[in-house]
Amino acid sequence: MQIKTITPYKQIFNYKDEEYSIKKENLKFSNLLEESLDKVNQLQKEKEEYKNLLITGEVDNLHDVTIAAEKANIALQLTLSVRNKIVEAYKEIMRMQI
Amino acid sequence: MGMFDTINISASALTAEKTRMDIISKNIANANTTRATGGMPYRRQMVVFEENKDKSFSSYLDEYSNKFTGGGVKIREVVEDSAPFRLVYEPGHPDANEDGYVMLPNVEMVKEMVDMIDAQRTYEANITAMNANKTMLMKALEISRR
Repeated sequence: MQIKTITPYKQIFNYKDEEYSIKKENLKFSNLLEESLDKVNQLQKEKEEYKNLLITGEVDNLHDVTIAAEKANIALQLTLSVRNKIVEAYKEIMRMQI
Repeated sequence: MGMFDTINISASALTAEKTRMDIISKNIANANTTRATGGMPYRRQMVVFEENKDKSFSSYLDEYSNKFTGGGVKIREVVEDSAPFRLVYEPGHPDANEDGYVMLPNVEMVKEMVDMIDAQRTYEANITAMNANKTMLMKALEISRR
């Protein structure tokens, strides 16, 4: 694997309008947010599922449970981080003098 | 490459090492078993690990364009050790042959103990790798904090 100082992320660095014009609908912020929230929710559900399996004694590997919990935790932290940023931006706009 | 790829790779290694540990425990538990399959003594078992690779065409393309393709480890098979059985002189044993020798499993306790330490430490190493990745993710979140 080649390692450069910054691995360019295609969607950011090679962004071309025509290339993404069809998908533009999906690039709306609200859609992205919804999609991400769905993913976070999915991880939370997975964690719940593992928790139930652990309680009923059907878990083979204990680390699967802790890993699922950790993934859900990290995803939630990221969501919170993004939410805090959005709220901050909103407050900043509301503070604007008219 | 997703956000949780490192965690998933480490998780696969944890599962693999856990299975290895299961097999080692099985070997130790059966160290004196004289009646296993086919009336023969128990044969020591070993796990064979394999890199967990996506066999699809696109994954090969990715590999040749220097992209990251990795999927951790998986257990390919559990094989039997073909080493000869131990012969112990014990004429009173019900499984002794006409000369009074008993065939005991080819399990060497010292070897199993060393393997066990290895499996345990590898498990710990993978947990350390996973925790390091978690710390990185959490540190990345600190960028947005003031």
